[in-house]
Amino acid sequence: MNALLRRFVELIEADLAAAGFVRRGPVFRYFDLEGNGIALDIQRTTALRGEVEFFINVGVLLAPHLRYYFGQDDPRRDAMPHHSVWHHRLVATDDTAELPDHTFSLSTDTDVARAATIVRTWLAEYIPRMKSWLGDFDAMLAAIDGDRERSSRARAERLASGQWKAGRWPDGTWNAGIIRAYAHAERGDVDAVTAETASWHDSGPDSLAADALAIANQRLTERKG
Amino acid sequence: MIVGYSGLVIIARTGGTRLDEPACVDDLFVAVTDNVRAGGWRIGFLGPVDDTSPDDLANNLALETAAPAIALSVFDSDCALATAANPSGGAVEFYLNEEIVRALVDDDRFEPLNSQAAAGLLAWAEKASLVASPDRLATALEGSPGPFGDGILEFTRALGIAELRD
Repeated sequence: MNALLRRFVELIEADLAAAGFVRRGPVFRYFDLEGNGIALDIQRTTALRGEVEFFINVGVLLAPHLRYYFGQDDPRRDAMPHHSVWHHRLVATDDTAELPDHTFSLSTDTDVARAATIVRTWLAEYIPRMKSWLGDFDAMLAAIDGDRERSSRARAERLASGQWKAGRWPDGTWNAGIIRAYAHAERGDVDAVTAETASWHDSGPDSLAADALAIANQRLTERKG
Repeated sequence: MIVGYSGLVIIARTGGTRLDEPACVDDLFVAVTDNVRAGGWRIGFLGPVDDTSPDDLANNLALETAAPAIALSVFDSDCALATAANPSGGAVEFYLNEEIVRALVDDDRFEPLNSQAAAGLLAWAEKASLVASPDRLATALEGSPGPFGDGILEFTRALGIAELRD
């Protein structure tokens, strides 16, 4: 591993390991007992010789959604942020930047310290937040509503001022439809799953919609039994 | 513009151990796409890596797994510089698609390898307890790695590394 990247990884790994994350290659993963989790991926990109450039992607993982993706395979080894129901690419710039930039660039020890500070600050705020969502549909749906309101305020502010301002927008993108579908499914609400997934592009037998519906039917049967 | 695969590919016999687990691979900080083959062989696509060479990686892998191993550095899906190493020492350097390498590398830096490589690779396969096909191997060495690694997969089949049976 490049020496600068190694120092950066060591700095953030200390915080992530303390929070229960396990690293495999460039991906750190955390899972709760039910199989819900968080994945953080250091995604390298092309850089000039002597420099290291990368993005940091984070995703919150929903256990039934992972089971759909991975089947018999173990998501604890392979789950990535793109398997998530909430994902975010960390911003590499601070609040003084005119526009956000997602590229972390390391060419000196100072860059390493600065990048690690940005990431560790974000992790300190967001690891507890992300963990609070794991397996809790109500918490995720409430967070979706809160983020929607915050986006509306930020949009109005931007329209009024004509300027983008750091820290005004919520971090991350939710996949609310998937969360709602699995929330309905776990309650055994077949009709609600059917309604939620009715407009989904793929509704074939191997689709996510079919998986959610199968879970809903199973839960319904369990309750009747 | 179509850009092909550039990066390292490794071929090693690790049994049930995934190719991202050996220390020499973990140290590269890459996500490995692992393809399982019969007899405990695996083919791993590592993507771009800037701090090792196929020679170092093949030798490290062979030592760590105590089995013959190969590392290829693929350029734009068109060609590869590669090393087949043995844990007891001794290595064979070769190219996939030597013609393209010759076209890309300055004349004074280009070193032809493949005229000697086929015999070395057959010996490598024998040490690995594989039954290689000389004709198929010669053809595979002339081919390109291909955008989806098909040329590399054919190269492994020519060496005698078989697909997993259902």
